[in-house]
Parts: sequence; C-alpha cells; structure tokens
Amino acid sequence: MTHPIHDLDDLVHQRSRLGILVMLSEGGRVQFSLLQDNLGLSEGNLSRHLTTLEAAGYVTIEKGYEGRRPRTWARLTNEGRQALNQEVTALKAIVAKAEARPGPATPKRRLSHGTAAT
Amino acid sequence: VSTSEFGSVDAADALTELDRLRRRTRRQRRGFWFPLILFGLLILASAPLYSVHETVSTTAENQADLTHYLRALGAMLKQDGDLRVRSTAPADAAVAACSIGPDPQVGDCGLTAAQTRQLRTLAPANPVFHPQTKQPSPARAALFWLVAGTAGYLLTAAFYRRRAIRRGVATSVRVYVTTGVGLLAAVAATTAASVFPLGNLVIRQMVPLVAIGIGLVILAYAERSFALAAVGTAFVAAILATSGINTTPTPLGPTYLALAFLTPYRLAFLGALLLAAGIAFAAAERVGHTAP
Repeated sequence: MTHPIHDLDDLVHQRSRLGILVMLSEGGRVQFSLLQDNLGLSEGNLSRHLTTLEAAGYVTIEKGYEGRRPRTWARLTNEGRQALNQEVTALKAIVAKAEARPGPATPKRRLSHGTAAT
Repeated sequence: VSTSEFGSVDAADALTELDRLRRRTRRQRRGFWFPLILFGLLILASAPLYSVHETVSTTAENQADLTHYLRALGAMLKQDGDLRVRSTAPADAAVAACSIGPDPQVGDCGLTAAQTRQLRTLAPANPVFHPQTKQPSPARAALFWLVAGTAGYLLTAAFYRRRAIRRGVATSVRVYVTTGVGLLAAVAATTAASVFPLGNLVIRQMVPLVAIGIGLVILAYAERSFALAAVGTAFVAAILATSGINTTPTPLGPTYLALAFLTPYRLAFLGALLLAAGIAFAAAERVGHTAP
C-alpha cells in the first residue's frame, strides 16, 4: 500500500495555489483583489499562480468592468475542484496515518511557501 | 516544489490553514441577515391579510347550544382571532362580534337581547353544528405574496450582487435563479389552482410561508451555514406547529380547522422569528467584521 503522500499533486501542493483553490471553492467567483488580500500576495505573484492554475485547467479567469473599474475574477473549474478535493483527502490521509502509528511523527518538510510559480 | 518527505505535522498545519481561509471567505461572502430581516418584515406586513374575522352562520337553537358551539370553536381557534356570528333567521341581519376564548359566553359576543331571542327562535330541527362559513378570500394574501415575495427575492438578489461586487466574492448565480424560479412557480401554481391538492384555501395562504422557509434552507446550503439551516428548519417547523394542522375529525368539520391554520398573531410570531434571527446574524457579522 503506497503512502498517501504520493497522492499529493505538485502543482496544487503549494501554499498559495492551494489557498487560491480553497477560496474559489467557497465562492462562485472571486475577485483578484480579494485573493490578493486574503492570501497576502503581491499582484505579480498572484498573477503567476493564477496563470499556472489556468494552464492546468483548474481555474478560469474573467476580465471585465464593474462600472468603469476594470475587474478580474477567477472561477474554479470542475477539474480544479476535483484536484482540490484530492489534495485535501491526501492531507487528511497523511494526518490519519501518522495518528494511527505509534512513535515519532514522520520527518517533516514545511509546505512550500515559494512565491514563484513552477 | 517537491512533496517528498512531507510531514504529518505539515499536513495538519496545512489543513488548519485551509480551514481558516475557508471560514474567512465564507464570512466575507455571507449576508443572509438581509433576506431574514426583509422577509420577517414582509410576513409582519402580511399578518392583517390572514385575519380570521369570519362570518359564520349558525343554526344554534338556544343560548346553551350557541355557547357550546362557541366553546368548541374557540378551543379550535386556540383563542386568537375574533369571530362574527350571525344567526340564520331570515329576518336577522344582525352580526355580533364575538370574542373566542376557552370559556366563551354568548354575552361576550355582544349579542343583544333581541338577537339572542332571534337565535332561540331558530328551527329546532336544524343541527347545532351546521356552520356555513364564508371563507375569507385568499386572494389578498395570495396576491400580496406573489408581488411582495417576488420583489423580496429580487431585492435579495440585488443585495447579494451588490455585496459580491463590494466584497469581491460571489456565490453561484445558478442556485439563486433555479431556487427563485422554482419557488415562484410553486407559489403561483398553488395560488392559481382552484383547489389545492392537499386541501383548502387557507393552506394556499400557507404555501408562500413554507416557500420562504424552503428558500432559507436552500440559501443555507449555498452558504454552507448550519446556523441558517437551523433557522430555516425552525421556521418551517414553526409554521406547521402554529398552523395547527391535524387530521382529527371534529364536529365542526374541516373548514374550521382551516380557519385555525394561520392567524395574524401567529403570522406576527413567524415574522418576529425571522426578524430576530436576521438582527442576530447582522450583529454577529458586525462583530466579526470589526474583530481584529
């Protein structure tokens, strides 16, 4: 039986991108500025993460206007939702496996805080 | 970014952080205090339309029978609401306002001595319990809800749209449109039907209220809110509880049960219920918004 760590998706498994997917899963669509505020990202970083997620087919980007103000909205696709669910399931499985096993926790490496889109 | 050697502590931290972010986004998106307050006020405004000031013809042949009749009626109406009693004597056009309570008296009904006499002269062959009610027309309440319910729903949609623009997060429009069209169709269909499949005119007046309750439960699902789901469920339960629906046969027949379904007082209670919940949610949102 493989360790649930192998179910983690490198593309999704990144702090900011995971955060983006979670926020989008909670709203029909979310504005760029709110993503930026809640995730504490610079405009450039957020743009790069969104481009990566869009290229993977996990989000769609809509550009438009509210009145005269230009707005950018992001929306989660079905594939994105599926990827997020899979990631959360894998994370829960890792925790559950560690809790079920006596002794020290597995060697740890922090969840990547990298800002560059890979 | 590698996932190798990702630790369980990290996984737990990540889940906690995601949960925090999820809750924060939900808080920013939610605004259900608005529909609760709005529909609470609409229900309060509709209360007078549910008046049970009814004209009932009775063939009670004497004062004792009439008292007995009123007592039974009062017990069914559970004390709220008034009733107008009219004798069926051909020459008697008098209508007396009558308070309905646990122990009603003919005197309480404001019957004059002449009216009481007239009641006593009714044909003894007629049964005491032979009420011929003139049901209240449900048209006013039905029309009110078709207009006010639709307007309330559109106002709620406008509120959410405006809020989505201001806050930057919107829920799925599809859920709102589907729910709105579905509920409006249900209310319109039951209103238009000359005979509602489940019963009578008064039930039709109840349908808009149940539709509001169902709308709240669907909103709770869309907003992922157990608290709102609890309010919606409690509201529907309160409608059913206060409407006094039961199938117990009574000597007065089902039409009197229908009369007892919804009264202004009960409507006021239902409206106050939503209003109180809306104010509580608005206060909670304000506290959450100003919290560090």
